[in-house]
Amino acid sequence: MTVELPNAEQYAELIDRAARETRKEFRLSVLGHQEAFEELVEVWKECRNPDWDGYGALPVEQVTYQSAYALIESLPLGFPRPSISAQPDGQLTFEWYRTPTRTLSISIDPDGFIHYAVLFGSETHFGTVPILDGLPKRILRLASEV
Amino acid sequence: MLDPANLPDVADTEFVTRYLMFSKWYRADQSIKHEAFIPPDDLEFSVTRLLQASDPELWDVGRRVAIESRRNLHGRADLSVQAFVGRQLSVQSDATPNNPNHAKVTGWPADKGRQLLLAKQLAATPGLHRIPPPAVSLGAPPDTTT
Repeated sequence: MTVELPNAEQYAELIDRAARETRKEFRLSVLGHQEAFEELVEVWKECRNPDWDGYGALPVEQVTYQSAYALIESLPLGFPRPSISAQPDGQLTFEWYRTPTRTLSISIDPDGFIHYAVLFGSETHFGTVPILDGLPKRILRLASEV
Repeated sequence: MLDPANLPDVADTEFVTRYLMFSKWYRADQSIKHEAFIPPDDLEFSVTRLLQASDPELWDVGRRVAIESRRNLHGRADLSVQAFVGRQLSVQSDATPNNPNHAKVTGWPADKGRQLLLAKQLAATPGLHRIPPPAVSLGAPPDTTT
């Protein structure tokens, strides 16, 4: 009797499928960010048309939604969940909040940049960084300190 | 409401309001999120002066904006003009045909990171909270006792 072993290409496909399934399981687990994904979709649906705020807001573009989705995916498992919203300039926002004066927000623009601002009492930080591979370590560290 | 033919300059001691047309612009504890204070791309941020306006008149303005933009009016956030002026912004009368109390806040930085920080500082103004719209009265029920 001969057993036909998978070739290298088939092995690669099997491993890839298993990895994708594992990632999906994690996303749906309590350690993952399923609620954040759901809130993102809710905000996207409400803000993808112009004037969604009654003051002439710009629509949230699909590319911005995709960037936000990828950023949620990149958050470490079990990381505090941000609340998600949108700005009149069409940018999506994540907020980590403890009190009005202890909070960090990022806004995601359609050109591939993240803007951030932090209030830690009288201490403030702000800036702009390109979206490369997830949130920069500095922002993750600040968010975990909120 | 103010007399459109005789509009006084906006004084630092006045209060203005921002209508909230999006449920993600305030938190469950009724505090206001920074998104409510991000200016649009033309950097002219709309507010309505409380000067000489009754509460029903102010809510009428908000409801009209909501109807025109097919949004729900979730409330308003009242803020002193000093809160803006104290952050190097200025508030000028900008009456519209439907709203003689309309004003605009100008002087915003173009840099998105700075805008975000400024909006977070405004949202952290002590005492600032969502004022929910009053329930719309449907009138008294008919008297069926006679």
